[in-house]
Amino acid sequence: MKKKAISAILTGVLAVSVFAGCGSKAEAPAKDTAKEETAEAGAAEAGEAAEASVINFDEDPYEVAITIIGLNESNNDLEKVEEAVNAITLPKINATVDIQPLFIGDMGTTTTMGIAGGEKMDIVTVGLVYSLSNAVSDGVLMPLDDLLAERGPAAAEVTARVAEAQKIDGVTYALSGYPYSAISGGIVYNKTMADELGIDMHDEMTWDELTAAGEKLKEKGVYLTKYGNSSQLNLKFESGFDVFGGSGEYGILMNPADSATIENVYASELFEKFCERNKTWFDNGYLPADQMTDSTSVQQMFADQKLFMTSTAYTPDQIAVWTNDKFETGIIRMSEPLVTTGGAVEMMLGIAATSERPDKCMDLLNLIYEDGELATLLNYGVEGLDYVKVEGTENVITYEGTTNADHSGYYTVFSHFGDPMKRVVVAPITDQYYDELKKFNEESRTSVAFGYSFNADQYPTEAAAISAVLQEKLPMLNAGQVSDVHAAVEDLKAALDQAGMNDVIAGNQEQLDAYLAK
Amino acid sequence: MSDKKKINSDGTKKRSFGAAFLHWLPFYLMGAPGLIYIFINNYMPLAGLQIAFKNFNFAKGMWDSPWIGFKNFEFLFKSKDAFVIVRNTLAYNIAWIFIGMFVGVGAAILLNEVQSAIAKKFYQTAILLPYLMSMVVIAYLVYAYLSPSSGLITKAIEHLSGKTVQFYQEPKFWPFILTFVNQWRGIGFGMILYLSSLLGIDPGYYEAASLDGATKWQQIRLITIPLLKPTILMLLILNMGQIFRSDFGLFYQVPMMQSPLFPVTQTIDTYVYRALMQLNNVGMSAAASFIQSVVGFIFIVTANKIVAKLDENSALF
Repeated sequence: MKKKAISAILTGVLAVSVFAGCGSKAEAPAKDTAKEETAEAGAAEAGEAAEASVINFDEDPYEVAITIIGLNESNNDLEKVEEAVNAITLPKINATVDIQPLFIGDMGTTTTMGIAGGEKMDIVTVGLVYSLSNAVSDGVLMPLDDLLAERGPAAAEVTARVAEAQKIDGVTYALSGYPYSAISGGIVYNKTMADELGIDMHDEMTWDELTAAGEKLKEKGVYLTKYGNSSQLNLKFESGFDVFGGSGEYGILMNPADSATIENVYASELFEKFCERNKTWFDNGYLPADQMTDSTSVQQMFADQKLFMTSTAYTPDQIAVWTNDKFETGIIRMSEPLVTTGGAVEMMLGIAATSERPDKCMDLLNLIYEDGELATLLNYGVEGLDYVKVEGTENVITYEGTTNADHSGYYTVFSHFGDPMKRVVVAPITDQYYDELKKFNEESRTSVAFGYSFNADQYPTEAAAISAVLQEKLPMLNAGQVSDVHAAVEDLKAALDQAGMNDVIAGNQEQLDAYLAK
Repeated sequence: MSDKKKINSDGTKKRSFGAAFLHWLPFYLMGAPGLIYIFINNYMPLAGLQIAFKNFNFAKGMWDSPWIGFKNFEFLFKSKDAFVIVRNTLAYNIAWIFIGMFVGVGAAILLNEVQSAIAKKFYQTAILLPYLMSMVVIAYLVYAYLSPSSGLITKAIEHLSGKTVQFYQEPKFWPFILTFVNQWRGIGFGMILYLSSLLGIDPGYYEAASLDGATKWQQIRLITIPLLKPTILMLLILNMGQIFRSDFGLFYQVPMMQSPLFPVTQTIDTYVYRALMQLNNVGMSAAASFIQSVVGFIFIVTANKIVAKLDENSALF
């Protein structure tokens, strides 16, 4: 009986594998031809467009699907925003839009699965949690150089300063949402409280000065800051590093404007000092005792005035994220403004490899960069409905007093469309923003590695192991809750060595050197 | 199959194959939806096992992605944590399978002795309730007891001994905390099958035994346990298949993701999650699941072999 059962199972498995085999043989060629067809069609269309070089208004308008990235907002006014966008795009480029809100956590999977599953996708967002290099190696994006030359003059012009960062192996795959991409480390703080306690907050403060502030705050029962259960490289917000990988998993450039030597930040003296500083802060009671287990967010505690400050990326408009009506917020710079690949590729728009009409997608992308009104619509919604102009200003808007004050109408926190010089800004940012942004970028230095991005395809095993090590060892060091900082850092270093971090950094250095040699 | 044929053809005349097929056709048709479902849901995805051995690329798809041998498996063994992960996963599971068996059988026997129908319903529901709770809720229930600043147990210890125990930084407590939480949560569900088997035991046995002067303990030992044995063994073998999988919610949520506790709370599932959260590497996730299935398969077959040696009738196959 048992033999029969086994043979039955074997037959079953065999049958399955035969079926599976059939499927593969039948499917594979079909897929290939389909791909070739779309590629040919795309090329043909692009060719036609080049000949005509004007928008074809005789055909039916094409609907371009475009994603906006958020945090599961309800976007009740989505249809009205689409109508308003269509009112601009139909007469100008004979296209309509289908705006698709996407949760940031699902960005990568939704995009890859959508492409693999043949869903209608046109303009997709990369960057944020799904990096440009990953998207390119996943085959999600279409090369843009020809399209850009033929139908995207405005898009090419606005993004010219970050053009190098938009390329992988010399081919442009996406357009940056941050054409003014300079960024520096910073600290956002409660200005009302600082004034009250006589704490002097100024650019590039030393850690000793911050520690002194912590003492004053402790007397008042307010925590200096909180790192929580964080496995990030929080040091990056207080330094001018060019970081490869979210937390320097692939190494960092310590002095990015001067030296192209990639280093392991966790083996640096500065990192150990940072951990020691955090331990001092924790031991002195400047950090919450239950910071590791209390899951209240830093944002929430800052708004509730339980925390004085937190480190953040610094740009001229960053402060808007942190303001509220209970107190005045201030922000200081902790490092020089720096232009890095990471800053430019933070959020980008590309065209899906499976898009039926790449030409139309490029028309829309170009219009977004050209037309400030369209960029404002996609960023902030419809005027009068989702936001109102602040009286006495030229380009400052506010959500207050509209149904969108709670971000239920139309809101995207992560997407940035178009030319920042042409779209409006949200209060408390003022009309001076445009000059500030220009100045901040003019003052900035550029990382020697600008335009380069590390291709980690060769190191998936190491990347996974490094990530696991950081998640295990970093939170206690960030929180300053280890008993012996030096021993804990040594332990972290040993674990990273074992995970193969040095190999990854060596590989990264090799790729960077090859890039710079070109 | 052959057994069935013999029994079913008992007393009826032998049919030809065609006639037999016609006779059973309605039953085949009745079974068809289930078989088709199993084929689609359990057998067709088997083709996807190849992803574990491929450098999966979304644009190329499953069939056209290049083969890379065992490279996807390497990350599991790359760190020195590999031993800890495997030890935690196996040790917790083996311990819990046996503890769960004793506790489940014990609870089922006790509950079976409750006479009042209302009380029985009440107890059963009360015991089952935690099983229906989300792990996130359970994590905060535990936190209410163990929180460093306001936990009930932490504060009690502080008042009694003057010392503060940092539960969320001391790995030594967690094997017991996790075992307790796991059993507290799972006991209600674990005993359902035992309870239903108990209800199927003919009360005549017990009546006869008590007439002969058997004590309650003797009745449990000599009647209940032997009659429960097939159920116990079946569940034991089935549980063996899950030996290399862990309850992700329990290990991830209940220790509040505290890294100092990783040496005793990191299992293969949480490790894979943490390692791949940022990478989204489909091939490596597939490799981890593949190992889990293979180990589970080996354990099931081995357990079944052992059981078959001891008692052929109790073996599953």
